Amino acid sequence: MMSRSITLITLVALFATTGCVSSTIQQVRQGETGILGDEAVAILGRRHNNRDETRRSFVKCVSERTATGSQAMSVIQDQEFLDALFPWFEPRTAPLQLNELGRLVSRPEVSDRINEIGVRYIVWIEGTTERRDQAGTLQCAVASGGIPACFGFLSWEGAADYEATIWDITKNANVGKLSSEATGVSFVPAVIVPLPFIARVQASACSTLADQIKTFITG
Amino acid sequence: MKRTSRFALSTLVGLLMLSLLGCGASAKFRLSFDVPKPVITPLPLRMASYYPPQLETYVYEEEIANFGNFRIDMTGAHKTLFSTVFDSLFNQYTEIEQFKDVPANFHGIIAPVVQEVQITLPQQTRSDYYEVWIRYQLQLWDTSGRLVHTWSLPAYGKANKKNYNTIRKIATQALHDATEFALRDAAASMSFYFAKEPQVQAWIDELTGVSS
Repeated sequence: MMSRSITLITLVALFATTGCVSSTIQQVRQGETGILGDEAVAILGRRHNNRDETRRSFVKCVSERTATGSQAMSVIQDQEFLDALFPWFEPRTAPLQLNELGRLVSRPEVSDRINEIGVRYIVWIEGTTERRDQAGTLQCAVASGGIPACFGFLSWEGAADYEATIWDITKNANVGKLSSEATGVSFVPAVIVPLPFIARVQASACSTLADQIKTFITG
Repeated sequence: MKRTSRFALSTLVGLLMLSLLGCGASAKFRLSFDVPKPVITPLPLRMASYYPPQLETYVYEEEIANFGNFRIDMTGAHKTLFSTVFDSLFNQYTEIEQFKDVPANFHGIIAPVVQEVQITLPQQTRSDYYEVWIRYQLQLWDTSGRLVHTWSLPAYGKANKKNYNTIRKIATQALHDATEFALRDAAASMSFYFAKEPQVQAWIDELTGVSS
């Protein structure tokens, strides 16, 4: 009987682990876009800021989602691009402003390499995922009979706030800025077994931003 | 049967708690490092490099109070870094075992050493980052045996602990990556700033006949 209850609770926990997420997207277009079949997009995380470095997993997620599904485009991943153009896009040396990109691309060895790998757009991703307004407590202990048990209630708000700046290398122009903000409340009630209801804010921000990038670039 | 399964469950929970307590502490590893060939225009120089044993077999070791022992075996990594950069930075480049082995038509010899390595943990700085600083000292000699210039090359690398999902060995993985990023930073700095050191620039101008 007890094992049947535990199985039921586990199944509920497995299926009901997603909390609600609300997303807001915004875009500012500053130039015409479009992409040919042999052109690629490099999606890069900003690393110059010591406090809020963009998470690698988020940049990878956006790259993978931009390269798949409808309107999929050829994407060069962060590390691959950094290696191909080493040492020009390292944290200390990467262009922060468009005029710095112009100076960089005017170097023949750099423009040759960019042409070789076929990159038309650079998408800079900046932002963070934060957990805030955490409330409640949850305590787990092993009872005298040797059975572990948790009691309490924990909740927090997750906020993923990301921005993508798109540079067109061929035009040396900043063609637009996209932003994706996702918030959601996660909670974990626990009576013996904890049941996590997690709002997957980062995954939501990733998919909306990737879809936005594809729609924006293809025009 | 029931007692056995309870014992197994308790042991499992105990082991899980122990592994959680132990995470984020000591790290010991050998650095696996490779650096891409820099995309730069070579300087019109024929240069040799001399790598002292200290640079080739450098091992960083430190016991940090309350956080454990840290050991980073950097054998081979610094040599890989400098030889890859020098090969792109100079028109012609070779490695020598002794100063006297420098080819007759070469312009100079460059000899790097590791001056200092420091690490910090997120627990020490109350940040999300494992950080690594490396300071090299470089000496530039001409082929007549005159020391042209000595300068320092600082490098920095960091790795965000949030990028690592595993419960255990975060310190090992993050410090490995932070060290690798520090070496890449050194390679980037060397590629950019070698010819911008005023004494080095004056020496190159002298060799290539550029009047100041």
